[in-house]
Amino acid sequence: MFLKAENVTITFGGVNANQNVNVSFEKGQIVGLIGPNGAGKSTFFKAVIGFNRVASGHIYFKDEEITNQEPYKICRKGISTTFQKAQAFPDMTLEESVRVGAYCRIKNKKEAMAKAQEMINFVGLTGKEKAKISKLNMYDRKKAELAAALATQPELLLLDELFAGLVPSEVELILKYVKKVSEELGITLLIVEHVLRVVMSLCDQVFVLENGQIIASGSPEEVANNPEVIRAYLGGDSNVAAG
Amino acid sequence: MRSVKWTKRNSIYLAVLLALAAFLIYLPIGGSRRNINIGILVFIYIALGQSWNLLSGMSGLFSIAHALFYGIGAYGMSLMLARAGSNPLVGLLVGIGANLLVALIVGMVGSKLSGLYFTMALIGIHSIFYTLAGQLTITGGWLGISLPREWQLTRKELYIIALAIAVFMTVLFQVIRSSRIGTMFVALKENPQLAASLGSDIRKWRILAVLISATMASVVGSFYAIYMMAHNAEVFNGTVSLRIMMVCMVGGVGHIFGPWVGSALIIMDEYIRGAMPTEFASLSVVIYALVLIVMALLRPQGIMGSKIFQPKEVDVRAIENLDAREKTE
Ligand SMILES: Nc1ncnc2c1ncn2[C@@H]1O[C@H](COP(=O)(O)OP(=O)(O)O)[C@@H](O)[C@H]1O
Ligand SMILES: [Mg+2]
Repeated sequence: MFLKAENVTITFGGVNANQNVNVSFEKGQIVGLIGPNGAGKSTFFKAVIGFNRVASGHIYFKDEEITNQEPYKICRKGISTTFQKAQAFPDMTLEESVRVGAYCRIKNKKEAMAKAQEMINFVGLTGKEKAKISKLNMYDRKKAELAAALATQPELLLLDELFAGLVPSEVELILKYVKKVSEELGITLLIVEHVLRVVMSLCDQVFVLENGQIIASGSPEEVANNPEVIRAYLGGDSNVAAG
Repeated sequence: MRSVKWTKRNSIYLAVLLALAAFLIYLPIGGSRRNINIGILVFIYIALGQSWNLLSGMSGLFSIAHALFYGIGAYGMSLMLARAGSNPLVGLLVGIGANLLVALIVGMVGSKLSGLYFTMALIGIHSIFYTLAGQLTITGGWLGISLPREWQLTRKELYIIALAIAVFMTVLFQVIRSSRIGTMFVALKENPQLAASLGSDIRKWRILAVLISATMASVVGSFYAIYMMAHNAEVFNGTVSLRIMMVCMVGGVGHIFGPWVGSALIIMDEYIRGAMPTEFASLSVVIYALVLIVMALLRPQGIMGSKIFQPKEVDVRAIENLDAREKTE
């Protein structure tokens, strides 16, 4: 298995935000993690990248245990992420902030700049290199964050609600880049999303979280037609796939 | 190459810097002995300002007792020259060596725990050094330590060395800022969590920031010992730390020319002190406090600065707090 989370339990003040979560998938896929607000999706994400402490259970990446390792070490092993609330170095230029990601593997400044430029071009931000991050709009900021994550040269990229806060036309556009990440860069994707239409059309495999527990998993069709999922996600009154 | 936009702001920088340069050239040529001394003091605080600027402005660890590193540098020099009969190069290196050791301890505390613990470690170690320097026989206690006459330099030599140190520290600041190290320092100041998630080892960079900053301050302290030819434990005095912070905060924290502009404060302070009867000499602290309050009200980012100083906590796992804030917004 490429990524394997085994009985992962995460506790905040006595409440299990994740309880015995099992998620595993192979390399090269686009995997979805869906569930209602507060289900524990972001909590799981942050456990994978070392931000949340796993109380019990194990996480393996390429058969190597990464449970509760420091975030920077996990990044260097090849896992990168974008956060639900877009994170930035507000006072840096776009170029420099993407370069922070590039420095994960490249020590030489010139080479890191080249890598940063490559990723800025990749996400379609060419020409905005010298702009301060704080001056960019939400759409460009999300792309900037994506570029920085890609500059670390990950094998697995986690996207936490990348589409949230964007207008539908922007969602269509950024979707194009997400597909490119998978197809052109060959990076495995784990996508947390509540825009279900996106997940259903994009993913090879979907996991559904509710109240910190996995209640279903399988192909998008299987999951969409699972009565348990329909109940949990939409109160049973409409079709999940319609999003 | 990147093109530089010529803004009104740039013109102001240039005007201020030219005026300062003219004044600094005038001092050793036409200036009195007293003016040359003020010039040297200005350079000392510019160089110390760059050291503080690197640690607190660039990497975001707030150094509240920066005199620690400066004082160690001074004693490294004076002890080596006066007690070991050694030469200034050895004095300089001993100061730096001692500083690296102290910086490593403070840096390790500062990188493991939150910024608050860094401040506490700094204050703790500072008070140990301050007290020991004032008590021990080898340091000459509160009477202090005198350097052998053979190492005495002329005013003009001292002035040129001080200028060179100030320029060197400024260039060093810029070289570091534009290198990989500088990018990492700024990244961990602006968003340590994001920096960690992008693969940067925050602890390593934090410790490195303290080591570099301490080394810079050490050089200035060693110079000060030779400049004064005698000093006591007051090199560790809190007023020194306060002045360093003031110079940076008035000039603009994290800005390369912040300490240059802020050092005008030192000139002002010296002239006011000169004009006052000696019993009011300690009034400078009052002046600093007033300037600080006025600055906080009118221009909290400093004269050159664009951003208000905001120290960040070191907890790399704390990114969920940002998310939590988002949810309640
Ligand atoms: N750092 C934290 N401290 C306390 N509770 C938290 C923390 N992070 C998340 N939670 C709680 O865990 C639950 C799951 O949150 P989250 O993983 O953000 O949900 P999702 O991403 O699926 O919307 C929520 O009840 C949330 O309030
Ligand atoms: Mg979430």
